[in-house]
Amino acid sequence: MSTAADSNGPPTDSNLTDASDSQWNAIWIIGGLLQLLAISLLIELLLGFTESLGLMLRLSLLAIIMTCIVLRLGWLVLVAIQVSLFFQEPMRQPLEHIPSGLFFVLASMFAMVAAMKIPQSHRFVTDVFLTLFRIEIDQGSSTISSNTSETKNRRLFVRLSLAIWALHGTLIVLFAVFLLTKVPVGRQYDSWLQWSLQNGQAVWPGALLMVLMIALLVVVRENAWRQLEPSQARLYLRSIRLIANYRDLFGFERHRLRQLRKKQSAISANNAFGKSYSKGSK
Amino acid sequence: MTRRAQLFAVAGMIGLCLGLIRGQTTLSLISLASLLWILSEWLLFYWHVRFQLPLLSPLRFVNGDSEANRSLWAERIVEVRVQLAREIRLFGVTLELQDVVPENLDLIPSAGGGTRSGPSKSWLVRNFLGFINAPDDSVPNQKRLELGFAQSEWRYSARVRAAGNVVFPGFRLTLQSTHSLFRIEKFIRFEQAFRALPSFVDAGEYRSLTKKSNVIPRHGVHRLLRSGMGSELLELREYAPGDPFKSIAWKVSAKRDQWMTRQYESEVPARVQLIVDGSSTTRVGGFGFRLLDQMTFVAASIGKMATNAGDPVGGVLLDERGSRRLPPMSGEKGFQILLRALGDFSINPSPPPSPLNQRLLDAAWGLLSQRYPELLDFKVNQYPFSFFPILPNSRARRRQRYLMAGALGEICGLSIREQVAMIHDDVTMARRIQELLNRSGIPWIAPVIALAESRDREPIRRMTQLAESILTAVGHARDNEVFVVMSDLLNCVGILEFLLPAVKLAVAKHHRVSFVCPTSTFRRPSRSVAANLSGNWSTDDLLFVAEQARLQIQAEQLQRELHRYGASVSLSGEKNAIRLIMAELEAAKTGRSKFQGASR
Repeated sequence: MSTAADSNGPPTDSNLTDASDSQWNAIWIIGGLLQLLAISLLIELLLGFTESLGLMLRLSLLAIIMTCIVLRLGWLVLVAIQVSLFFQEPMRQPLEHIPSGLFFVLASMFAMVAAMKIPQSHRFVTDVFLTLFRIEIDQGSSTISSNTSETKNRRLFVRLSLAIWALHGTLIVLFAVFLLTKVPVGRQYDSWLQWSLQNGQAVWPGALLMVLMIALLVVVRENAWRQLEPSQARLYLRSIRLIANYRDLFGFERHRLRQLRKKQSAISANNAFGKSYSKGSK
Repeated sequence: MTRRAQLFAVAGMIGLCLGLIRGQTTLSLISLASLLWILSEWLLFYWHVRFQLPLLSPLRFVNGDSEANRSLWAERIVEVRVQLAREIRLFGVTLELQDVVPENLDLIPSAGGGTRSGPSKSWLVRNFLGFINAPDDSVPNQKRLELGFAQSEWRYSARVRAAGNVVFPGFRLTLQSTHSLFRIEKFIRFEQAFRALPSFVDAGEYRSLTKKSNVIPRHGVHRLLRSGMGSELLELREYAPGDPFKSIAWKVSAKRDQWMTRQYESEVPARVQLIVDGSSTTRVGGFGFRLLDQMTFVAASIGKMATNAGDPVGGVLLDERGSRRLPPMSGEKGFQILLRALGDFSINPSPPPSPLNQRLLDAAWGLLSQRYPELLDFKVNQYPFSFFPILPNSRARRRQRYLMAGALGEICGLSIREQVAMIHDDVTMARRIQELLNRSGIPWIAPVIALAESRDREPIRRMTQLAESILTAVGHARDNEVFVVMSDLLNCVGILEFLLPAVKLAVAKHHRVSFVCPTSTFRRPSRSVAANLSGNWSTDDLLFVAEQARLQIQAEQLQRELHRYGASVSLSGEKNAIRLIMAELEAAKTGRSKFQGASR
């Protein structure tokens, strides 16, 4: 067995793996824990009602939130925030209050998405951690190296992902604000209703919407049909025919099986009779 | 849409409704933003499915060649390279591409694992913080692609397990959005079929170490110690009317004052007839562990050594479908024909019927999910609604059966009536599933074949067929040939009387008959196995010892019976069996009743 001492060439992966394992594990664990802790603390801050609870209860709540995150229950984070808002937010707020809560919404979105990032992209905060502190790791050989193209690509990927996610989240929240201000909900609904009735229209242009919906449905179904593979299309037609003729076919099959069972029972009875007859003749 | 996306959507809609009704702006905003976020993910995902996936066209190069219908060798390494032919763009989605490896290939783990695998994990990471680490991407036949890329390729190695065929079905791809809200699984068919030739031992030419004559005959010609038209003197005998004058030994006749005639040796080729019994009992087991694999290995090795010695090799390949006779062939070309025939013979035919059970259904469901996921989509594979059964488990089983019947109907091109028969008749369903699994290259192991069905149900018919094959070979034989019968005889010791007349006839016709019986343990049964095992015996050890003891008893009975008729018996597909056959062949070449001298 060759060792690092007796090899004349450059140090191989096997030589370096042992040395870098502890560093790797440390980075993985620290990164992951940091990620969990950051998200949990953020969510716990968002859930303002925990401030009145004791330390142990708050820690327990923190542990539950961490468990939810670990178990990929990102939707539960959303539900938790919603429940918190449901009980804490004052009712009948005017829409002008939206800009003040924008940061809160963005932070909530971040918490929700980051909760799902743990199992999904594995190293969200770890990568950020590595990128920020400029630790360059050649992941292919599991060794800490000076500079490789893969490391550069990975850093670029992390930065790009962060930028895209931030842009994406902000745009979504802004679009949601735009929709909420334009769609007649809340107090605006009354004025919209009055306007509709005064102009001799229905409560809502329902007929127009219905026609548009049907047209959209036709387009979607046609598009879905065109995207089917030939085997899927054949199977679809086959299943439609099956459903249409199922009762008759089931009747035929039931009759056939019944006849088959009768035949088999007759054969077994004949065999039994033949055996007993041959015994008797002996 | 995954379950996660559904939960998000439900939570978002409920939150939005409550927020609007109660006039809670922030609640409405968060809920609406989450819904919009799902919508944006869907749009991105849909764009990839609609416009990027059709561009995906992976190519596979096996041993550097993209063409199929070539030959591979059992127990050798195959290098596979997968390359994406066209450039596609990925953004915000993850694509996993897996080259589905047939059952007859054994994947070799890549050195150092995948490119994304981390270091060896500590106890803490393995047991508590495993979720922090990246998933294990070290599956060599799989590639994970995340962000926009131009072209990609990866390589992996695999070992061919046994002779038969190797069919690469295609690629399984899983496209999912970054947060696993949407996922689609597809199977890209890219079928490449290869014939897997059996492995063999190339031990060169088998020659006795004892010097027998000064004149070495031509390659492939052997001196038989019987009177014939050779060049070497065999014996002198008294003249008989009809003997040619040129063979009269004049000097000896003058000395003895009696007409004497010279008798010359025969110069004949020694032919080998391989009789391989590939009945269903020999095909049970995983590839490389079947009794048939032992037999094809022995047959190919004997064929190679005989070819090296210039001896023609023929054979009879028989199973439940009938028998196929291979005329004696010599030379490398003849050997290749023999290998191809053995390779084709090793492909499993339709398995014997097996009763339907949940394991068989699950196996078929797994295969369909992997290779035909598009046919299990409820949108295209619909079935009639019924309130019954009410229990969730029963409803799930009913749904599974209807979907499978539809998919099988489409794959096998069945009529709708046959599809309904599959739904309600267990026998029909089991038969179709067995056909599908067998056609997909799944070996004859449970649940494809029930263990109870793997027993020899018609041993007498098998013995009769084997005897007929020997008689056919004797009928086509000339003189002094070697019949190598490879069959699972250990379980047929009690019914050898159906086989023995054929053996007796072959021996009476001056042929040599040698039996090779493969064993399930791949070892020669021995009484000393128990002594070799030391320390505490595990259950497997006990089972192994018991199996060896059983085989030993059967082997002794078998050898006793067949030795009485002048046939030799070798057990298991080890090299010793090949040596025994070659010794028999050597004896047949010289015409001696028993082989002598050291072997190679």
